[in-house]
Amino acid sequence: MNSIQLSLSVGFAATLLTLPLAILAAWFLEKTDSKARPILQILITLPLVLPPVVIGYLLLALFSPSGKVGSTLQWLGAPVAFHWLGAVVSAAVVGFPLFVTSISLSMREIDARLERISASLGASRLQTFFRITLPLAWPGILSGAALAFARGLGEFGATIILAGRIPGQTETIPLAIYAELDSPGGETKIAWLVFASIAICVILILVSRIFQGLHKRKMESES
Amino acid sequence: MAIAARIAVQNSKLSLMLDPAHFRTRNLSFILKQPARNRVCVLIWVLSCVFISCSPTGPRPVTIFAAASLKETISELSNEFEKSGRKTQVQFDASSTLARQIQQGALADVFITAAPEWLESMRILDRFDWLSNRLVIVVPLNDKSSFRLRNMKSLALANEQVPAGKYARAAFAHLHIPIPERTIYGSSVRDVLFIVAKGGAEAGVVYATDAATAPELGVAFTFPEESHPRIVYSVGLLRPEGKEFYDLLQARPEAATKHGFIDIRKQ
Repeated sequence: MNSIQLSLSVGFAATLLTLPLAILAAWFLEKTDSKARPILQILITLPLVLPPVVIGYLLLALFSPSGKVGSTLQWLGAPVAFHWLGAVVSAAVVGFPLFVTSISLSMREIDARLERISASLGASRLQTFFRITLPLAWPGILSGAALAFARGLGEFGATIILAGRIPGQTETIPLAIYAELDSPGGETKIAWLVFASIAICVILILVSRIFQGLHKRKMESES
Repeated sequence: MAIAARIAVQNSKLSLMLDPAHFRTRNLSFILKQPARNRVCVLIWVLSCVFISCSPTGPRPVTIFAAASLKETISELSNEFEKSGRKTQVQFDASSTLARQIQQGALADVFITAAPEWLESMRILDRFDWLSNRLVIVVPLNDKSSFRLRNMKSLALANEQVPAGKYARAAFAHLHIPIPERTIYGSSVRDVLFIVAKGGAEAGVVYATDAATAPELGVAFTFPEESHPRIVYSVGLLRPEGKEFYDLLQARPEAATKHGFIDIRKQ
């Protein structure tokens, strides 16, 4: 069904878009001692607890075509408000906290001595990151990606405000279910969509758990 | 309160888990053997549960479900009605959404719908046709002069089931105007207004009365009346508790005509 495909592609794009940002944020939180860390921690946790409608409203205020940012993006040919990208941005924002948390947990468990040894052997911070931290953290990164994907897939509040309901463009599974509630005889379609979302989420949780297990084994073999 | 309850639960759970002997004996008397601190915590938790479940409930307010386009009118009338001492609770949404909620068991005393067909599937005590309206296309005021009916690139419409959406589709078909490929669907007629105001679509189809509530939008086109089924706002009395409000609506069409609605009996 159209909206299932759309949901998957929106979730995929959102996860891909936030992947480098999430890794960077997790590294900043775990591997630096900057004073800005507590502030960043709060900012990252915020979308997890803020009502999604508030997130949507803030994003729309930022990206609305009547504003500066929104009109510039429109001029560049990448409008976010009431557009496919809006659904992606909403999914990305709500999935981001889960993504970062999962990566920082796996980075925290990396033996700090390995990184210190790497530095003592003359590796730069960047080299240490790419040769030690990243290879050891990747199961955690993929586990976080699966969680963020699952969370983004189901976003309703932020999406309906920022992206609106445009069939084939921003009508993801939850928006399609909401629209079908009104139409008589929509029950079968709703049943399919509900079944699909449960199935997709169960698979994603399993994937996330598999990677968590992989991470654990990796940590045990290192020490 | 909630925090206290949580601490209490955690404390009691913790002490149970710490002592495996309690599980072996399966004797509930261990609850009484808990340290005083834990017992106090459990007591606080129990009391807060009791307190929450005993929250005060007054007499039920008169519950009104009204079509989104009637927001200003019904808010004013319900404020007036409350001066008689009875509380009201008004819910505005698309008539189709409200009808579904009522069919699924939502408690409503009076239902005012923008399409009378939604009353047909309902058990009602009484009904009357109240108002009519006109269907228009709104655009941002700045774009009013450049608007071309047959050259719209994007359009905001109410969902298929929402009365405003149904009337709009009928009118477009009747006038042989193609609906633009880029169409954004609003959950109610007010949602359509919001989408146009935020720049989500070039134009949107709403009622004339809705257009009047948005100062930044202007009417670019008024659909001829014969292009769509006649717009009729019907009032249904669903429960006897709503009788006084139902009578007030019948007696005061001018509260609505003031906002641009058309009194159906004078038409």
